[in-house]
Amino acid sequence: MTTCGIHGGTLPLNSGRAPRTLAWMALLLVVVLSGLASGPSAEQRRLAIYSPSSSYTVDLLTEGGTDYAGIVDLLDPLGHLEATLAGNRLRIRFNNLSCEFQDGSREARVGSSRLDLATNFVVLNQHGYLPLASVPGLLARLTGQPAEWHATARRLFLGVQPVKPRVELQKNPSRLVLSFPGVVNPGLAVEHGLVRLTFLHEPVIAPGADSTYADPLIASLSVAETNGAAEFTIRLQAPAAARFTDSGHTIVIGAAVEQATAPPQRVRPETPPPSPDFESRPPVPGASHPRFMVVIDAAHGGDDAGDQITPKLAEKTVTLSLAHRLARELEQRGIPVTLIRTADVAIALDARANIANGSRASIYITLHASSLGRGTRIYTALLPASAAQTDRHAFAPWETAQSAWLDSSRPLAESLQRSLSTRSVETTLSAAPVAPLNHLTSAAVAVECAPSGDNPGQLASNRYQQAVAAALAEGVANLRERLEGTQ
Amino acid sequence: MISRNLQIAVLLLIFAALCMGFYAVYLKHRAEELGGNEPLSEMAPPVSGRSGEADLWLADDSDGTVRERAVQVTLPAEPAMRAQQALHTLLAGYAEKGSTHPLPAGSDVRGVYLVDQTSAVVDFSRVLAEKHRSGIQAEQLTVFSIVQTLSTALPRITRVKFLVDGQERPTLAGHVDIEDWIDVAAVAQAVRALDAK
Repeated sequence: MTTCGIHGGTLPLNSGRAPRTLAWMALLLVVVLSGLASGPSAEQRRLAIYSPSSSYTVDLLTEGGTDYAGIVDLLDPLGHLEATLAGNRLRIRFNNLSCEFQDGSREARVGSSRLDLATNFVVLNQHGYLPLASVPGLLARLTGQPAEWHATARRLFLGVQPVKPRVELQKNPSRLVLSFPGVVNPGLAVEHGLVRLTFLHEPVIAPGADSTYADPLIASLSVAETNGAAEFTIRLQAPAAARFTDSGHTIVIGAAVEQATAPPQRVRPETPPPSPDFESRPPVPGASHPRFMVVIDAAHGGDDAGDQITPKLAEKTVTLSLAHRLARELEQRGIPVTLIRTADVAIALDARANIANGSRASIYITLHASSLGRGTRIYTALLPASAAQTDRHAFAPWETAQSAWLDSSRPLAESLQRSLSTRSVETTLSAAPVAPLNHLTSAAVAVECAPSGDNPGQLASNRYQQAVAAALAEGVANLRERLEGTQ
Repeated sequence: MISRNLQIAVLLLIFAALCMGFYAVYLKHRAEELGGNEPLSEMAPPVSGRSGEADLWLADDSDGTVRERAVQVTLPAEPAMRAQQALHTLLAGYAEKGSTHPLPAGSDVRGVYLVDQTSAVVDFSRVLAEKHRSGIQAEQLTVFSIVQTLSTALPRITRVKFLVDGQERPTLAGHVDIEDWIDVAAVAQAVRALDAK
């Protein structure tokens, strides 16, 4: 038995326990110090949601061993959302349906009915968090879409069917061909002896059981769903490379020498960027690849908030909302659209240019918002006259890739200005080295919206955003015929 | 049997190690917070030379223009130093209260370097980029104002490269690309177009 006293020389301890106690203390010290030294290194836990309108990921908050998802992050990409926090109650209006959640309560109200949550709803730093296990039920109820939930991998298929690629091992030369029904843009990592494809924003699942091949190049294919993604691992017997064909519908893994002699393909970013929606936009009837397509880039996202327009309104929020409205307006005019950012995620500037160039966009519009100045400002790239180039099929330096398209970008900017002016939105045109305009191989402009008066909060209002989105869509539609002629 | 003194010593060591660990993390955060506050006095070297007129290109947020104005400054004989002094005066004016294009206090130029007489590399203090207002127009006016002032002081340059604290940086404050060379003639044309609006 261990005893201790305030007075006395030595503390009599059980001789067997003392070394154990010291060992535990030492272990604790090592754990704490190593934790302090290394900092947060664990991979961010995330949830992936695939829906007909948008595919996106939500970073999870883990409290007491339970995963939570921010309610605004969950719902904002799916439709029109208004959220009000009053005390410990969060009231939400989503597509004309009211919900109410209470901090520390397992009961929520959705419309006129009650919803029991898996654990308590949490309000933290003015944000509401829903237990992960309750996400599929709530989203299915709010959107009216059937939900398929892959709990272990944290992937939710909301109104869309999981997609199985067609896998074919071809001989002479050996190559593994993965065919998808839609355009895919996975993260690609080629390591010693394997190729790894990570599908984060496409509802891709395993084509079947893992396969082993008796082939001189491809040894096996295995697929695992984990942390909001599907990871395809192809083990190799010899050096190989991957390339994208069929406008991004097919991935071919072949011998490195063979790939090197293949026609040049688009350059893909090293880090997997969040890709455009996977078949979320209707294709043009009768065309496998739309001839005229607009890429909309909601600037900033994730840790990059952009301008802080008001203490509670960040530029990244305005641009995302405006991008969704512009996409709807364009689609109503029969113009196919790809959204580069559909949720609050950070995407590198070069990756944005790569996505737009890779999708062979006719028009690229990056949306910005600012509290400085008045009205709307439209920018085209600022390039030296010496870089002027007319041959759009020739190789061009990355820094001046836009030069061959400036003669399309300027008419686009003028068309947008005319359309905005007819709706009484004060608009100016200018050239500026706005990132990443110089790297775009399409007609490309940046649009920066500023309030028309002294109220910067106007930028978040439905009325203002709708007016700007409709005017921009009209400006694009007015120029469609001319740009199609130059493609 | 382990003596009580040894146990107390081990416990004290563990406690001290933990305290030092937390203090190290605190100091790291503190250093990051204070990192951008570079005192202006450290950035501005003393300048000697005759007093003369320098043409500065001043940005105005109210109408989104950049216009030329002559000011009296001390002008060193060496061209790069003269250009640096013009930029120092320009940025100091922006940091003053009531500026037409406010920039954060402590914004300054660390050096102007001429490469083959037609290319200029300008190194700015970290605070200029890290505390700059984020926005296309705000960043565009800063870059245009600097490039125009520089090209007026050094008429032979055709392009300008921005560095921040000696390093390349993708954008000034999230919008305007400063990683690539900026063409002087293209900026001059864009400034004329802004003035003609």
